[in-house]
Amino acid sequence: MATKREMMEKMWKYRKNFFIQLMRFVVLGLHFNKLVKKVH
Amino acid sequence: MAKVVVVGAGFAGHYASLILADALKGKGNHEITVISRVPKFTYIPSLVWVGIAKMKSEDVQFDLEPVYNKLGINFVHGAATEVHPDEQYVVVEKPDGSTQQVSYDYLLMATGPYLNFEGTPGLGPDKGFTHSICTPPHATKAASAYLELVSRMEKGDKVKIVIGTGHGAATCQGAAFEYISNVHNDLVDRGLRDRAEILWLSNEPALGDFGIDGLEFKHGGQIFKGEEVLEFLFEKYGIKYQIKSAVKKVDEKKIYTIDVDGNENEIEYDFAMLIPQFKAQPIKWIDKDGNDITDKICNPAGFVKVDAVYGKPYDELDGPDWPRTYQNPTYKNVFAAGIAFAPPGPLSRPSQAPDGTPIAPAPPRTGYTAELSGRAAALNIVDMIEGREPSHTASMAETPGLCVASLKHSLTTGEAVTIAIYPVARNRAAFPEYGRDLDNCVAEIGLAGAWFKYFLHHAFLYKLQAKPGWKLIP
Repeated sequence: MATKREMMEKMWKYRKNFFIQLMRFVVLGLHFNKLVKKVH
Repeated sequence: MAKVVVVGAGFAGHYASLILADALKGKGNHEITVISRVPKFTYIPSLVWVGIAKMKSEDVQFDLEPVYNKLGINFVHGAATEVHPDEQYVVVEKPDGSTQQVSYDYLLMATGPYLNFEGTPGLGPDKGFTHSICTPPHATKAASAYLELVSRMEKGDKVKIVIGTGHGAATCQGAAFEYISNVHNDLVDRGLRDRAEILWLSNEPALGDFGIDGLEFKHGGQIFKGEEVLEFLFEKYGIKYQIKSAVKKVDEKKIYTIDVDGNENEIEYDFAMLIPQFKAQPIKWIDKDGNDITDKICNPAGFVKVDAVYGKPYDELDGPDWPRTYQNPTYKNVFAAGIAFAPPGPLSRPSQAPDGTPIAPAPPRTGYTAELSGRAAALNIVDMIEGREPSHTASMAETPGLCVASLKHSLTTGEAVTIAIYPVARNRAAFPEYGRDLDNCVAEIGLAGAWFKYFLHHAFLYKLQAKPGWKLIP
């Protein structure tokens, strides 16, 4: 298993990769939407 | 017919007034009045960009009156100075010095904070030496000073920048974190980063605490702490840090601090942006006999008591102690939301320096959290108008915290930390191990966050101007 440091380095490496970030935008958007629905 | 008065037009008060107008529409001749010291709404999360001259203050504000005219809400421009809860009226001091009495059947206090720069000698942009991004004029002034600093650096000067909190009991560490990150990235883009020493100075008990007792999240089968992410980020950014510290005073050249172990430090600076302590707006509560009953209605800091469990020590505080309906226990027709309600205690572990200086971050309750409390209070007022008991809840121990902390403002090269925690206040009664549901907690750095921050800026400003379809935006 990768160490926490290695995982953070990976997140750092891909933090500006357009396609990965586009995918993360969708995933995080759906997660936000799920949490918002808990209170609305 | 019921008269509802909302004092304050920030996230909690303004959104509550929109909710009230919508919920009471067509249900009788009810009257809604908003009292605000400022005739504009400010989208505070974007002030960080005003503070580094990436946005103008008018881009984060809009006039309240046209919105209220559209929705049939009365608007009184002035500062509430007294509340008479027995006789049910608010005294308002107007900009021309005259006073006005505004009567109510139901009152929602959503006054936002009083920025207590006086709490730290030498702090603040008006009478002190440091800057602030807490209001549009302050952020604009901070941007001018920052650009002057940049111009000095372009001529070859090496400078020291200090950003963080300017009082042991300050809150809003998140805003300061956004500012220090944006300053760092702006200097990188200008090719000047090697000419600046940047220091994070904070009252937090740990890096990444943010006044919410930090955060944990699952990633790749492991549990990360916010502290680990911040240490990593500051290492990448080359930002030094001094935490567990209170600023005692500031002069033209130095910031004087003390930490929880009693170590005193003098920090030289060329530019400092330090968030002040937040206190309640100075409003007196007067009973029918003319007695000042502020101490009975409010906590010692002046925030209005609601349906929380007050008086418990930090280690005994838990989720069920946080307010749910935001109703005042003494006057049932009075509610308080956003910054204005008195929390039952801090979220972060409080401490103090050996000389008694408190080093205890106050709980942040701005932005989305403020909106949720304002919405619950507004709907509870509607409940009462229609003869029901308050039924709407928005406890910080039962609602999520959604935060996008900008690190760099750009749609192509920007970055931000996208944070979701559930719930905001640790609730060990519901989630025994961490007090939070880690399956719903996230913290992630990337360009996606910069897109979120930009999207939220426009979505909130659209919603809060009650433009067509505004109710569809949560």
